[in-house]
Amino acid sequence: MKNTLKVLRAEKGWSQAALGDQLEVSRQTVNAIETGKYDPSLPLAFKIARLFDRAIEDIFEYTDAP
Amino acid sequence: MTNKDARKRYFKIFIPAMLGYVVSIFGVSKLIDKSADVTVFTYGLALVPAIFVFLWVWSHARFILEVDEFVRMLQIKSILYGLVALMAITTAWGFLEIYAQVPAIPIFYVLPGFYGCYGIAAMIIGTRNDAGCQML
Repeated sequence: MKNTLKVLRAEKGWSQAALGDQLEVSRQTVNAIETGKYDPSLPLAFKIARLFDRAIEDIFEYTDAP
Repeated sequence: MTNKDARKRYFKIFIPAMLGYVVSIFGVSKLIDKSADVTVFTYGLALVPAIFVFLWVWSHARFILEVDEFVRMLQIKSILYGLVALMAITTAWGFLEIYAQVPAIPIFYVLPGFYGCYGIAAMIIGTRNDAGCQML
């Protein structure tokens, strides 16, 4: 799933570790989401959206991957 | 709870459990006379090392439940591949025992065999996902 998490994080000047601390996940989890290797669960996606004060759809773009 | 805290909690159980396992293995082998009749006492003593193994495996299960969702997924993937490898190896060995007369292996080697397979899977999966330091 494509997402704009890296851009949003950069706008705030946060490191992956700092964002991870706020979301209560590891730096590796943030990196995996940003690089598209991992799609977050619904609760984590809501946490991310609330943290950046955006709708989930504004951050994550669902694509019909083959 | 952070992954670091979960790993600390895991090692708090794992290290004493492994020490207890090693000590109990030596203790049980000294205490049980194999030439004597088997009693309830024999059964009880023989199971003591298994208690420490149970504690170790339980602490690993708890670790998986306590880490964050991404690392939990990597752990479960590693366990899955470890199980697949173990089942393939034990099945193949079983046929070799029947048809090629290779020596039979005691069943308690299944657990270290699984953790060997799991360990290899965890290294590969952890490295591929830039999460090697998060795996056990």
